[in-house]
Amino acid sequence: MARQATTTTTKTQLRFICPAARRLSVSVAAVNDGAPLAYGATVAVEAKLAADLLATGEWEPVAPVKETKDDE
Amino acid sequence: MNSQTTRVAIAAQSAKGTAATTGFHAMRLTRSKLVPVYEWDSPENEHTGVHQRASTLTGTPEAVSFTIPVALGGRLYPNAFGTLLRGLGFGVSSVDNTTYHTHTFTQADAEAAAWLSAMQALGEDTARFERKVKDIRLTQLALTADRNGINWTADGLGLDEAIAAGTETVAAEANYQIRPSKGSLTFGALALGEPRSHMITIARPVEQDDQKLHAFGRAGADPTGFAVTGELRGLDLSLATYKKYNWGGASGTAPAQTTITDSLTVLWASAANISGADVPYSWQFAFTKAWFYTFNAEAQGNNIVRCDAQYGMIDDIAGAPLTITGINGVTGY
Repeated sequence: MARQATTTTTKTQLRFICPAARRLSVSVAAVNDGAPLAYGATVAVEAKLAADLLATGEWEPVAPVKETKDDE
Repeated sequence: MNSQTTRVAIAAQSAKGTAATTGFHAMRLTRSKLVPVYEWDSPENEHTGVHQRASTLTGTPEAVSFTIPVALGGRLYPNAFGTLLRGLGFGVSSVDNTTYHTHTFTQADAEAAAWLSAMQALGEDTARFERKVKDIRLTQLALTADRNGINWTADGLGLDEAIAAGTETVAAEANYQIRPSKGSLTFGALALGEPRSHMITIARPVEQDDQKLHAFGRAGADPTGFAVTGELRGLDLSLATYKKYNWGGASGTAPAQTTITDSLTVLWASAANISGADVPYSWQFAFTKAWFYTFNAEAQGNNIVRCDAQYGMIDDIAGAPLTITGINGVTGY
């Protein structure tokens, strides 16, 4: 049996806490394909983007998530 | 690139020089233009010493400065208009009425007048690109209401631009037009009735050529005035109206030197109420004191004779001479 290689990408889970999203349809171009986000929605994004999003003050970190994929 | 795919969003900045990253309002526009304009030092008619042909331009022009003129236009909607007012030098105080929010705009101190950021995205998919112009101050807002709708145009000046980060939060505009058929027009005492169209122009000139040495762009755009004028077109004409406007009052008998002043409040609202609230979206312009000057009435052909009245805001009181009130679902500006 051939041994399968495993790659692990670490993404950062963020929760959207923008006050405006409580009442309005709010979107962020770099997240969710620019589709509207609801207050409290969570997304998993790359570390660099996560840092940019956290800097806006409209996101809070949830917990790091490991996505494990089995390569063929 | 199709104009219909364009997205423009504006937000007030926390300070000059710091582009906004949150609180953008997408605008429903019919027109937007935010393109830098460069100024050049063009070395014409120099004795070059290189040749002796009689050419005008004998050296390479070099840029000396740039600005980013901003021109926007569209119909009046509930939300993003408030950010435009911030860019015109209005300060705002917002109240949470649970099912809606009330925003009161009055003229801010010139030194405290806000700067705006505006993002314009052009094109779709991989061809899409979005620029962010920062340090914008608007210089004019012209609003025209007639029976078909309420349209506005805004002009201004931006000082710098860059590519948008993509992480900016953009709130969609509410899909409710502010309708000219809704709301009311109230005078203090003049009672000229309702016009058939109404124009309001807010002019807030800024210093446009403020450039320091050792810098390529402009240093700032300090406000140099604030004037609001309006025109009521197509008022019903009667002798009483004529006297009130021209002869110092309804009991006047001759041209009067008295200046006609009055308060004026105009409110426009959406046809439907705000979701979950018992009030519609609305924008109200309340002048504490305005003077009414040019009066125009002309009989021509088979036209119905009506009159047009122009007015201007007077700022000679301690309180705000113009208070603009917006009711919508936006938390704050």
